[in-house]
Amino acid sequence: MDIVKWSRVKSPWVFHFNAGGCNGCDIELLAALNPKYDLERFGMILRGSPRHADVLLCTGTVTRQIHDRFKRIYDQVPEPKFVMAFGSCACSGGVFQKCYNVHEGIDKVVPVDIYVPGCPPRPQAIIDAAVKLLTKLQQS
Amino acid sequence: MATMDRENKIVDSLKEKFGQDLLEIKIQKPRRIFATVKVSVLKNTISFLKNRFSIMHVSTMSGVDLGKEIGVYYHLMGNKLEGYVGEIVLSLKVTTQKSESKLPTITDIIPGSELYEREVYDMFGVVFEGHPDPRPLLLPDGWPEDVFPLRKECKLDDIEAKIEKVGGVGS
Repeated sequence: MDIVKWSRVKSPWVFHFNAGGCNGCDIELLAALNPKYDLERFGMILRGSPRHADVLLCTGTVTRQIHDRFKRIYDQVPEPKFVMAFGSCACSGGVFQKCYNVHEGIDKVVPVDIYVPGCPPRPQAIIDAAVKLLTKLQQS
Repeated sequence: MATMDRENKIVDSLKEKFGQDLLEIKIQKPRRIFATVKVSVLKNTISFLKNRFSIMHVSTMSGVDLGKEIGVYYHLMGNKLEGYVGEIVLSLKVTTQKSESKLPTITDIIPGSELYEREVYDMFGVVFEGHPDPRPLLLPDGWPEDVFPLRKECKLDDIEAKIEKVGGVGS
């Protein structure tokens, strides 16, 4: 295992992007990063720029307005990139399915590595997803 | 029991002022009035309510597809008086033909209604004549001009086909 991969597994940097959600997932995510559930024990840390990120964490279904911007953000994440679809909307469109101004889920627009269902996901589900993501990073 | 003096006074003076042009009015419950007027007296009604009873806050505007017609509701609030609890909410309804949906703007009387009128145009295609800035508000950039998504005849497949055709954003 080379040093870059080792450091990625030890501390995957996350960029959080809301592609048209209701903010429920975003609040749950930030709560999970805080000391009570403490996702940061896996080294996961939020970054302000997609250029610094290993993982693109998306909440919300992709609206038509944000579609092109979202693709641009995705392109800015350096390889190898991992995408986490966070919440029901990001997985399948959720309550916005068959709505006139959305794409039904992140995976209609960019390839997704890991899905976290729930509206919003439970902290336990988030931690489970984080551990599975680490496994995936290790295998990459 | 709350007294209904304020409500009755508003209803009576509206009836007296507009007569035949006031199609329907009722007091649903304390502090809640529903009224329907003809389009021709819409602006007069709004300015009358504003000047006489200071009912001049547009909480929101909503549209509804009634088949051949489109109904537009102005949800107005105001009339907070000494000795009474709370303000009165008055929902003023007008209808316009769907084939040629036009209403006069009320932005010259209540400037705060500007964004709501733009929203109703986006969703139902009601043109507000005299609106100072009638750009689209909520729909994505590059949205086809003849698609009004909250009209009943607007189907998802048609919308997608039209968006593909104009090559809009997010297609």
